[in-house]
Amino acid sequence: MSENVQNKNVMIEVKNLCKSYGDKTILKDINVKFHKGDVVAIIGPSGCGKSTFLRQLNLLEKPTSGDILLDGKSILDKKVSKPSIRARVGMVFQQFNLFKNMTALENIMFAPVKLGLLSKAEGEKRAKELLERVGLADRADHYPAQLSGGQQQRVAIARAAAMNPEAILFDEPTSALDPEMVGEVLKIMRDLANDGMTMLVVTHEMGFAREVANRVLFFADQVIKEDGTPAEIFDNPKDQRLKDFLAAIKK
Amino acid sequence: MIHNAFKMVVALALALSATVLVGCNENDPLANRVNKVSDLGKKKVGVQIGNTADIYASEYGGDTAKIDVERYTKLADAVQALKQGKIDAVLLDDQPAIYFVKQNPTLRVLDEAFVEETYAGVIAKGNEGLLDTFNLVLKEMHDNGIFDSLMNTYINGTGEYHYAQKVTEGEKLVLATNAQFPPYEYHEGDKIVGLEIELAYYLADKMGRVLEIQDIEFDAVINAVSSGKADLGLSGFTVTEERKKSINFTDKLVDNKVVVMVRSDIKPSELDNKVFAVSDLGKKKVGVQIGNTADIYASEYGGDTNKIDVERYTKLADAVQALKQGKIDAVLLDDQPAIYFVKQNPTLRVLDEAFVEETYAGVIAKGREGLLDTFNVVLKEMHENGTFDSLMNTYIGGSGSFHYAQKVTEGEKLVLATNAQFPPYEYHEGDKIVGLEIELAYYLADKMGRVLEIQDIEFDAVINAVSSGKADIGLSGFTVTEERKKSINFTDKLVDNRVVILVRTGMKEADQETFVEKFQKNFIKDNRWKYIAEGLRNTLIIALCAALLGILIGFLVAMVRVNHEFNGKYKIANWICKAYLAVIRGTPMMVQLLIIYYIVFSSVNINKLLVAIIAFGINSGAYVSEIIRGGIKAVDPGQIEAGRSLGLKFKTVMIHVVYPQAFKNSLPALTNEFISLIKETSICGYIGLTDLTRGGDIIRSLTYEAMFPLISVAIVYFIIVAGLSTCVARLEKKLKKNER
Repeated sequence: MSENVQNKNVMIEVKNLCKSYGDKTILKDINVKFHKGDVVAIIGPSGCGKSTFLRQLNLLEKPTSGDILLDGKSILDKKVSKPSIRARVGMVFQQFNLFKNMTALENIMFAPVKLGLLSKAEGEKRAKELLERVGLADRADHYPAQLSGGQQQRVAIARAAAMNPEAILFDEPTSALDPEMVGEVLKIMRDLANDGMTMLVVTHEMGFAREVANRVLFFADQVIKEDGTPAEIFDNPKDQRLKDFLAAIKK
Repeated sequence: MIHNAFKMVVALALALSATVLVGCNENDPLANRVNKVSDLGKKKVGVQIGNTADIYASEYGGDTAKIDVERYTKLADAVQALKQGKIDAVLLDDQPAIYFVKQNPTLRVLDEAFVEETYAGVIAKGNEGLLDTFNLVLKEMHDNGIFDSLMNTYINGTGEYHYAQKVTEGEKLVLATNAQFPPYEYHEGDKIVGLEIELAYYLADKMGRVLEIQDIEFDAVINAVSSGKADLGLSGFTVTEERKKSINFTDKLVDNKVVVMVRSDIKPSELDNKVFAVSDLGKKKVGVQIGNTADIYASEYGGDTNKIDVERYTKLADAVQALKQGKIDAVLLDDQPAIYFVKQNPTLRVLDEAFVEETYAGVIAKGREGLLDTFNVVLKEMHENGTFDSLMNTYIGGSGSFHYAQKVTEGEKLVLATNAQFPPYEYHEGDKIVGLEIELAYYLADKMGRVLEIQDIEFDAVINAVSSGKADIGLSGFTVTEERKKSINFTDKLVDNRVVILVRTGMKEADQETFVEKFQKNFIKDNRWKYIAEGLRNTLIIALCAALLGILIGFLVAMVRVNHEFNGKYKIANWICKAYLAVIRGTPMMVQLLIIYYIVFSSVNINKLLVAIIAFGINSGAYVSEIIRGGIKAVDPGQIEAGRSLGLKFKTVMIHVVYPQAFKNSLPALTNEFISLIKETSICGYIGLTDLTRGGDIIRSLTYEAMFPLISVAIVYFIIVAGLSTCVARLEKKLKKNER
C-alpha cells in the first residue's frame, strides 16, 4: 500500500495533539491517522487520557495545541461550525445520556428532524427501523427511566446511528452495564462494524477488541505506546507497560 | 334619719368583676347586678346613715321597686360590704366615690348620677353672726383664689396648694366633722385633712381663733352644732329643706352628685396593672397609633424611672382591641375617636383627665402654597357661612344631621390622602368613607371645580403621600407639631383636640352576641362582605399577574446566568442579574413595595394594582430565577453533552431537553414560591390597596370584632393555597409519567 493510497482513505488525522488541564498534562504530542471503515479499539490503564482523546475528536473538549483534520480539513478552524462537525461524528456515552424527557423513539428522531435532515414522518420511520435493528421495536414509547441499562445503551447507539454519521465514537459503552447486559450491546456494535461503520471504541472488553477491531491503540504515559493489529497487541506485545497491563487484565 | 348630708347625692355603683349579665349571676355573690340607676329597685344598697342618699334611697321606687337600704355608720364599711358582695351598690357622694374607686380598682362608679345637690356648712340657729362671718370669709376665699386652689388640690387633683392654720393661741373655734369623707375631710397619717378642714383653718385664722376639730359620727354632727357643743359643722352636708328647719346652712360650698358605686369585673390579678389617672401611666403597657402625636408624648413621658411601655399599632382599632383583651393597660388617642370607640365598646371608658391638649390641621406639601392658600380661604368661608359649624354639629356635637356631598363630578382630580379608621373625622360607613374632614374636602374640591379622589392608606404613610405628590392634601386628624412643620405645610387650625386615655371599665360585654348575630354584624350588615370580596379580587389579580411577571423575569435572569455559566457569554448582563438578585433578596418585600410606590413612581398618578403587581413581580422574579437556575443545574450535564454530540445547537438542547427537565425539578420549589407570593400580598394595605387582609381589617375596624374577619380571611387564603397545591400535585403526577 503506497503512502498515497493510504492517505486517500484517511478520515481523521490527529497532528501533534496536546491536552492539559492547568499544569497537568493528559496527552502529549499525539500523531495518529484513522481510515474509513476502521474499527479501532482504544485500551489502556484508567486515567491514561483515552476518553479525553476521544472527546476531542467530537469537539466536546478542545485540544490545548495541535490539530485534528476531518477529511483533510481542520475541525479546529474558527470558521468551521462545531455542530456541523459533531453531526458527522456520533458519540455513545458510558452513561448512555438518553434525553430523560423523551421516549426511546423521540430520542432517536429528535436530532435528525430538528436539524432538518429528515422530515418528521421520515424521522419516525427511520427511528422505528433503527429500534427494530437494535431489537427494541416494542419499547418505542418507553421513557429512559423505564428501560434497563442495556436497552438504554442500544437506544443510544441507534440515536447516534440515526444521524448517518461518518464515524461513531464509543466512550466505554459497556462499563456502566450489569454483566448480563454487556453482550446485547456488543452484539449491536458488532453488527454496526459489519455494516462498515467507522468506529473508535474506548473499551475494557478485550474479547471485543480482539474479535471485532482491526486495529488496537494502547494509551499510557500520555502517549500512544503501541499501535497495531489485535494479533500484534495481544499476542506479541513489545512495550513493557502493555505487557503489564495485559497481565493485570488476565488475572 | 337625722343628719344628713347636705350633698347632692349621686349614685356610685362599684361593680365587682361583673360577669356580665345581671340576671345570669343570681348565684354569684360577687357578680355585679347594677348597671344603671333603674337597676337599683329591690337590690341591697348601702348608704351612710344621715347622708341624703339615705333619704333618697328610702323614697326610691314606690311600693313595687323599693330599694333594700342597708345603713352604715361609716362609709368605709358600706364600701367593704360592697366589695364582699354583701350588698349590690353603695349610694354616696361623687368625690368620695372617686377616691374609693382609686383605692379599690375592683369598684367603679356608674356614669348616671342618682341625684344632684349642693354642699354647705351648718351653723346653729341663732348664731347668725358666725354665719355672716363664714359667708364673708368664703366669698373672700373665692375672690382671692384660695378656694379654687383648694378645689384643685382636693377635687381636680391638679394642684398641691395647702392652707395651714397660722393662729396658734387664743380662743377656740370648734369644728364638728366626720373625718371619713374624702376628699372633704379624712385622716391622712395622724392628721385630719381635706377641703373643708383647710377652709375651716382659713376661717379660724380670719377670726383670730384656733381651730379645734371634733371627729364624731356623721349623724351626730348636726346635733353637736345645734346643741352648741361645736360652733360649726362641716361634713359634706347636703342642703335639704328638712334640715333647714333645724339648722342654718352657709352659702354653697360645692356641687355634689350622689352616685352609684358598684363592683367592676376587674380581677384581683389584674389589679397591679390598672390606669386610673395620668399619673398611673408610668411603667404600664400603653397602646398608641404609629405616627400619632400620642406616640411622641408617651415615649417622652416619665423620664428614666417611670417610662411608659409604649406599644405601637398601625391601626387604632387594633390598639383598642388589644386594650379590650387586656393585652395593654390603656390607649392614648385623640378625644373624638375615643368617644366613638367608647360608644361602640361599653366596656371601655375615657379618663376625665386629658393627657395633652393640641390642635388639628390638614397637611399640604411644601412648595404648594397656592393650594394651601385656597384651602385656608375655603376653610374661612366655611366658618363664615356656617357649613363648618353644621359639620361639627353632625360629627362632633352629635346634634345635627347636615351632610355635604360633592357636586362636581367631572374634571381634574383632587387627591386626598387619609387613614379612614379615625372616627368621626374619617371612617368607613357601609361601603363609603365619611367623616368631618372628608366632607370638608368635598366642599374644597367643589370650590376648586375638581373631583375628590380619596386614598385610604396607613396613617404613617399619609404625610409621605402628600409630600411625595401622590396626594394633594392630607386630612387625617393631624396634630400640628414643630417637627412636622419642617417637612410639610399645615393648613389653618381645623379643631382642637385632647389626647385622652382610654381604659377598660371592667364591665364585660353587656349582651353576648350569638354566633349568628356576630356573623350578621361582620358580613351581612352594610354589605360588609364586599370588603372581603373586593379584597379577594385584588389579591387574586395581584398574585396571578405578579406570578406571571415573576416567571418571565425569573426565566430571563436564569437564562442569562446559565448561559454565562456554560458559555461565558453575557458578562455585563450576568453582572446586572447578580446585582438584581442581591438587592431583591437582601431587602424585605414590604420595603420594596414602599420604595416602588413612593420613590420609583413617586409623582406619577399610577394605578396601585399595577404598582403592587410590579413590586411583587420583581420580587418574585428573583426567587423564581434562582429556583429555575437550581433546576437547570440539577439536570445531568450528560444530557447537554449528548445533545451537543448530535450536532444540536446549545439553545435547542436547552429548550427541548434541559428546560423541561429543569421545570419538573423546580416545580415543588416554584409552588412554594407562589404560595408565599399569594400570602405576601397581604402587605398591600401599606399602600392603601384593599387586598384580602385589608378587607378583613376594615371590617375589624368597623365591628371591633377580631375573630370573624380574621378567621374568614385566613380561611379564604387557605382555600386559595389549597387549590393551588392540588393543581400542582396533579401536574406533578402527570410529569412523573417518564419516571419509573
